[in-house]
Amino acid sequence: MKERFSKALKIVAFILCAAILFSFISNVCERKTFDGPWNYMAKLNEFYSLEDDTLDYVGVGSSHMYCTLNPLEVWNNSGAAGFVLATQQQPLTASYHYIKETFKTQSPKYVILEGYMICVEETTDSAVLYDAIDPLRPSFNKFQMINNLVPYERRPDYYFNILKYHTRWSSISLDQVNNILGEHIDTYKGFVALQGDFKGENLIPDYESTQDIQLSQYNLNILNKIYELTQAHNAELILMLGPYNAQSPDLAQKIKAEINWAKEKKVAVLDYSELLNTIEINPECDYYDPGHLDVSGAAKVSAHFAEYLLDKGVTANTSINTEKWQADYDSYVENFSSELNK
Amino acid sequence: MSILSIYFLLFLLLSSLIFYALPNKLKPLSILAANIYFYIQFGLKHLPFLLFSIVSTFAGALLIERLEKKSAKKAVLASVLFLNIGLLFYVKFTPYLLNLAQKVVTFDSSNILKTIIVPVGIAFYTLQLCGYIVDVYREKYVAERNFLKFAAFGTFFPLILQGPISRYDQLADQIYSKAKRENIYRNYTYGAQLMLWGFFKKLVVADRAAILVNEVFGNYTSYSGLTVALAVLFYTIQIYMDFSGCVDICRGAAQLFGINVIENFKQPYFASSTQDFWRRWHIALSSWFRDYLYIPLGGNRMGAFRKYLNILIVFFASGLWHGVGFHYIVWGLMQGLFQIVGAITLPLKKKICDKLMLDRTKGFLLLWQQLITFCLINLSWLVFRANGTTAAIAMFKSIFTLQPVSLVNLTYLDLIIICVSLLIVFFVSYYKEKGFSVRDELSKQVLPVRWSVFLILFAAVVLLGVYGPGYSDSSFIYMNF
Repeated sequence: MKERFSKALKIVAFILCAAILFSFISNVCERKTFDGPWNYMAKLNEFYSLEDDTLDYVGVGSSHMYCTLNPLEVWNNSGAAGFVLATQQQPLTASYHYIKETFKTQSPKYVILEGYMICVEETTDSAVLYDAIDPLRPSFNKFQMINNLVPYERRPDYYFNILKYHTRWSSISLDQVNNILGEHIDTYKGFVALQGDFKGENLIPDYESTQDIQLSQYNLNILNKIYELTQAHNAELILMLGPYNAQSPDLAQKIKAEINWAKEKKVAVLDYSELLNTIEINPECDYYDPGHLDVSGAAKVSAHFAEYLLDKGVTANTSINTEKWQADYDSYVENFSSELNK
Repeated sequence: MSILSIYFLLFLLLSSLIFYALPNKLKPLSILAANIYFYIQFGLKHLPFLLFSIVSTFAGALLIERLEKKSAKKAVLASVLFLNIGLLFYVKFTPYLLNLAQKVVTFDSSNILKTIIVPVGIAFYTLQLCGYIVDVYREKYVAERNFLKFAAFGTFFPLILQGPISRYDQLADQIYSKAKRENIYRNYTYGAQLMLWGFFKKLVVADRAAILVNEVFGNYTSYSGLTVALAVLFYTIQIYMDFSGCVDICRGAAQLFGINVIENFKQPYFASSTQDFWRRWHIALSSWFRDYLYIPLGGNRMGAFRKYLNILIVFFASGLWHGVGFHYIVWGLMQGLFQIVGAITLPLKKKICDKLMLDRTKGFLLLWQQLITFCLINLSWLVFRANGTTAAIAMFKSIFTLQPVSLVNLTYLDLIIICVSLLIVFFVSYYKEKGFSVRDELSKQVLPVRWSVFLILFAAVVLLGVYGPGYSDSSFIYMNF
């Protein structure tokens, strides 16, 4: 009996050693995104470092979220603390799981869902999926996210992303090894600060003359799940649209369908596509590219959003580390002073 | 479900845990259930073929035993063999033969081709089951009356894809034996170690060598000289590492259930003649052909000419078994020819060595024979791997253009990894050749040493293995925003 127990213990101990080694190798080889504007891992590291129950709102969605809503500007204008959890072309299912992740440690009163991906068929592009999945810490939520997003035969590559990244071993630098404990942190609260010189015109979609279409059943199901999730956590869901700066009838139809859904569910809508002129977006200097705002454009939208929150009765958040937020804001202003003063 | 996939490892772990958790009476049934579950992962359409082979050989063996007259037994045996080998021949060769026929006569073969499925593992399980029924006919053992036991033998999942082809008395009794189940710890540790070694050979060495091999053989007109020679050498490495690696994974998987499967390779590249090579390479297949084709044809008991003819027939059949294409037949016949030339020149070689008082089994002479054998085998692998005989001839000729070597799409780092890995494999093989079991020697070492070896090997497989979807920076470059 004693011998059996000792052998069983040896097996368990060996498996543990192998698991630790495996985990270490996986962490080292994993593609890191903590440099540059699209440093999703650094942004998530910052999210995980927040104290519990300190956020007033969270914004989820695709690039139209992270280019548009700047939590530092919102805080500066309203005192409300928020975070943006968005990645490029983030599938709606991923947004659902990001909201779930939020509710593990935070109790935001508002969940802002950027609507662009509601009408887009969910992608299985590996770059998009890895960007959305990798930054999350291992958890049952992450496991479910992989199951819901990734085709069956590819799931092991996401459960154990070492299967994808192990070939990177020969090009890894020391600072990537240093991120094992999540030290790399981005202080922009999920906002992607872009500087661009695109010059164009403000294009506002025409909803009135578009035909009604139905949202796909698949996306409608996820949308309804998001709605129910926010309801279950006593959070108000707000639908944020754009700005997309586009006039295609196809886009207008899709936005109209989303607005109709929101009306049905009594979900508030912030249509920044329509508000482009109201918030004085300057097409000569506020865009990074035809469809995305740069830092100065985002500052204007964020200021408007701050006003919106104040109208809702949101007051200055006293549970956060105000000094840190001030320091982060000052650093952001210093880094982008030329853009912000255009 | 590939044996290299995580799903397979999970399935293996789960099925072995269930196996040990069940009472002894149910253990063989759990293996059968696991076998069937594994097989249907490849698609239900393959299952009827497997069931047909199992039922026909099971029933045929029982009938043979029941019949009195030798001629009747022979007729039953011939019928079962005809049906099973005929089926194998049909599914493997019909598309190729139709393609050949279309070069002569124009006709639409798509309707026929649509109906043909090549069942997974058919080349292996057909020989395994046919071997069984021949053994029953020869009264080597009695026919199995327990259909489930027989089915467990015929469908044993670790072996059904890649072999080794097992004999009934070796495998079936082990599935039903209680003896080896007592030492669960040893089964798991030895099984896992063998699998780890197999993964190392397959993923770190074979699949890395394949990077260069596939490129050069796939675009042979773009390469010449030493690059082609390197590709042939790498293929020699690849095929051994790949096959023996996968077989080690399969044997290790079987070991988890306390089932010992025969070794299929015994350091084949240490062979001193092609005859010796075939005693060390794919032992299960070569012994199958020896027992069920060569010996029934008369073996070496009917004079030299008949012996050589039998050798050619056996290797012709071996070539057909290995693949569909004329170059496989050429490859098989080359093997036969090498053996015949070796046999014919052997007396002369012995005479010369005796006269010069040289020992052919040691020292420089042994090394020389090993080198010649290696070169001949190398050459034959060129024919085996090439995309047909024309390609093989063109590649062979191009070696002599003496163009400098290029690593193609391998890096210097890959080359270093292959060389270091080969050194490791060489030393392990060398010790095995001397009669030492590296695993047993390792098990005598202290725990930190043992674990360090296994963990380093594990890390090498995880880090250096060629597997997965592959990573490239460019696929992550922000293009669509």
